[in-house]
Amino acid sequence: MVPSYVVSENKFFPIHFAFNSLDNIYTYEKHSGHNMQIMLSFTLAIVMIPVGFLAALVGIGGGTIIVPLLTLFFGLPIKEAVAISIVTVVAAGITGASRYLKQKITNIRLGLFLEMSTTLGAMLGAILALSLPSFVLFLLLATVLIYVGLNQIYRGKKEREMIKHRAYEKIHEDTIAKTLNLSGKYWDAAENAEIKYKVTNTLQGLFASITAGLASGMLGIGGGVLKVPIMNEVMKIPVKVAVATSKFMMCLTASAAALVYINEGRVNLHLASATVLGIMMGELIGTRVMNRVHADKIKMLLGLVLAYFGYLMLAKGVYRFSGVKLPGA
Amino acid sequence: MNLEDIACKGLTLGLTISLIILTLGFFFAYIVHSSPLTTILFYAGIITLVITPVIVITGLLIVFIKMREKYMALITLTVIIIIIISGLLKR
Repeated sequence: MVPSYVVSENKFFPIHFAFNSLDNIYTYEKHSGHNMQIMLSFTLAIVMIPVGFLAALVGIGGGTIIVPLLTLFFGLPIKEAVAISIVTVVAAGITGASRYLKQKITNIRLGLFLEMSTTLGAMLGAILALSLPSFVLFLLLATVLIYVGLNQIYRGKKEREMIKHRAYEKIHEDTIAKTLNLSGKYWDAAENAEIKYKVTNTLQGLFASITAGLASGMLGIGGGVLKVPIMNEVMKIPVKVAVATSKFMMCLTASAAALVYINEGRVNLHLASATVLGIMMGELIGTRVMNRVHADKIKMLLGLVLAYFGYLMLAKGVYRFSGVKLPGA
Repeated sequence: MNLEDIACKGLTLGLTISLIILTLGFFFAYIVHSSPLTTILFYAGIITLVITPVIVITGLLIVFIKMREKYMALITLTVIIIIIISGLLKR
């Protein structure tokens, strides 16, 4: 449907790349039908709205949804889809983060603290990925995601009870959390109350985030899907704060990767602009809704999303191990 | 002004500018067929979007240094360094 364009091989002159990239896009625009392009852009933007909405509610970037959408429904080559997806994740992260910061739900200190180990883990994961069989990793992650997903669904009601009974306030704050002033509070619009929370198990959370980063670097998945349950289950942070903080962390991590992709001329700017606009609209709606929804519903939705990701990882693992292709592999 | 306000203002500003540029890009794309201006606008919009978090985190580092929060400043600096290294590795 969309003609692929030449990707520059030169890796040493970013400015040269930028213009090379512009030239490529211009060539692509000249050779594809104008009406077709406009239609494709509008369709892409509209399709991205529900993705942005879901991403805002559960604190994910949406890359794992965007890539299959672009490849299966729009016929884009996988490399082009991944590059567009990374730029779109940045847009989702910034839009979500700015709205949640305005609502004072995001915990910046906690986000920066965990980002340290997540990015380190992602870097190590990218190196380790070269030496470990990927099917083992996919199957391991599938097990973890399905277990955590079902657990989130099962414990959804408990989350609401914890918020109602102010249990997050009574948690024992550990020394690191105290030193770095990581604990905080937010206004829960659904409960119509100010919720105070204390951060605990800081070191465990930091190490668990390394694992999340490792999985992210090894398997190329976004971190949000693992960061939210780690903050919520290990560090005992309310799920809404975890979702908002995950969004803030995501825009930092994804921007570095996106810059590399853009500099190398791998991003189809026309299509990326359309997906960016669509995801921004979805995120703006989702961030307005999230704080008005009860925490148990968000946790259940998160559980379903995790189980879905778990299934995708399982399908990929089974395919790489045995060659049997399950749907979504 | 607290940390959240600074980060929020920085991200919102970057987001608004990029949104305006991208919308202009689509406006020109709709009117003018295959214009280089459209391409430049798309490029500028995306770049503005992508560098916004980098600028915001640098701003947060400066705030932590000004507030004499040495641990948080160190953590933020470490995050910036790791992000740069991981970016270079990806290249």
